[in-house]
Amino acid sequence: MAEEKDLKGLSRREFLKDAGLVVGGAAVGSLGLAAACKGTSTTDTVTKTVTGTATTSTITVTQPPVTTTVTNVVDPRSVFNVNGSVIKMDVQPYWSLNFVLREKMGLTFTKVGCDRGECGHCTVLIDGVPMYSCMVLAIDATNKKIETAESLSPDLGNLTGIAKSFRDNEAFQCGWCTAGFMMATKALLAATPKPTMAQVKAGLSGHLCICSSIMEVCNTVVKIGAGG
Amino acid sequence: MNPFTVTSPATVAEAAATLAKGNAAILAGGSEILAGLKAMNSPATPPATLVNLKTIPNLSYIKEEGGMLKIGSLTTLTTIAANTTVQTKYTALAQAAGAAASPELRNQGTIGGNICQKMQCWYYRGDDNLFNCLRKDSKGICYAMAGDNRYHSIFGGVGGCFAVNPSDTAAALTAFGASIVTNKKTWAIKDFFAVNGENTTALAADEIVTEIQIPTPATGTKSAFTKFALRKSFDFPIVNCAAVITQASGTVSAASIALNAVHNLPRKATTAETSITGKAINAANADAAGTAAVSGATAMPANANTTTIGNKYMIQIAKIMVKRTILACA
Repeated sequence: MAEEKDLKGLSRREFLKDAGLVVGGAAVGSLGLAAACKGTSTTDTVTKTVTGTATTSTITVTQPPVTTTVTNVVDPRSVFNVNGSVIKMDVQPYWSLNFVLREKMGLTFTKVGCDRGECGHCTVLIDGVPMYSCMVLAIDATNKKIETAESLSPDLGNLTGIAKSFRDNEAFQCGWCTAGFMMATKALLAATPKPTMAQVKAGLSGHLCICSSIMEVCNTVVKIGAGG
Repeated sequence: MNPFTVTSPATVAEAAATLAKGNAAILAGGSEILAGLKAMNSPATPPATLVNLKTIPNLSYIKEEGGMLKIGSLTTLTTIAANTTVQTKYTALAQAAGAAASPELRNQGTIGGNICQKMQCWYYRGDDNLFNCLRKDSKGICYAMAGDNRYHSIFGGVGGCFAVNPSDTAAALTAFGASIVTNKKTWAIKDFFAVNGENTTALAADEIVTEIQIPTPATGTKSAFTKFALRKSFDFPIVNCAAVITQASGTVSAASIALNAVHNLPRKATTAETSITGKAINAANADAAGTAAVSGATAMPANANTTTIGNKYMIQIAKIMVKRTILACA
């Protein structure tokens, strides 16, 4: 079917594709922390020091991903391993991981929905296990491998993997829940590479999509497992 | 959320010493305490210190020894639900752990925290409550008595409170006759739960659950857990039920049935146990046991309303949950 063009020459399909890119990756690290996206700017191997706008705390991002034990760290609480990058940061004990990821590291792909452990929008992987980042204190996530939605598709102009499947199957509308769904999907597929619809529904049961795209999400995940 | 500090104790004794100083609360999985602190509705006085039990080693394990199953208090619900020993010999507990909350919350939620969780009554938790209920303030009253009590106790109140215990695993542990080990003593499960200020357990302020012990069931025992919730995917129970039933030559030789979310405390359905014992497990006998289980129930006004919600709906659900749980043990 021919696509209807509007006056500006932008078809609905093209608009949705663009919207998909926005969902997949608006606002790349407002503090210049795109480097925390695994694989981005891999030639950039120097240590960057960026002063955050919200506080005076100093953020140090080191690339490429460091796997050796970090030395010369006074407080082991303050070392985060996000998407393969080591980030040293002083955090308050009452800050949630979600707050630190979004407001201090600028990794805003991880959304905040209810902020009380009910909607799943803020899901990240901690040592490969999906958890609501709003319900985890940042100090409990130190020295653990944290994966956010930024790690799913490093090149936002050319989505791959789960992010591409979600976009191609339009498994979203407003996109607020999408990052959480995608991280839970990654954990689900790691444990169950070819999930049935029942397994997908059980695995993603901790997530809400208020735009009612849940069936599109479930169908997409089944499709990914089946090789589509 | 009020700011707080977090201590990182190395031993249970060190954690208890911090708790004994007062103005402190336990941080285990974290989803219960952090949700309450963020909404600023539980506890009534936000603690200045959280004691992080996760820094204490060796509190997460599942092992069978000495004729019982021992579960460390920091074992996550996901781990318990996925454990093959628990699945085969303590089925109701695996099902209850797998039915609580959502996959993500089960990944961080612990069994110790699940049985110590506070009530979800909206007159206790409501963000916009103008007055404290009697659980938060001894001079308060139970607003559920005159207010919206559609999810409240159908077996009367304890100490004037009509909020129900929302734990899923508590029903299974009650049916199994578990023991709860703390740093002070070993509690029988029937004495463990209480209406104790804002707490749902009889634990002292500096008492920490360290282990759950479940006696190994006799040969020929089967157990099951069922839960009714408004959202099947992820919700607190309206009613849940666990049954541990031993059969010999086609009839029930021993039965232990527990209902939860129907009363302040997990409730042992002794009348249902008596009803089914000595009989075969079939639909008619299970239905009779379900009727016996709710024989002493008294619906509160909103869950007895015949026009808007259904005729004593919660009592009917409790009856059917008992019936289905018994049939699942066949």
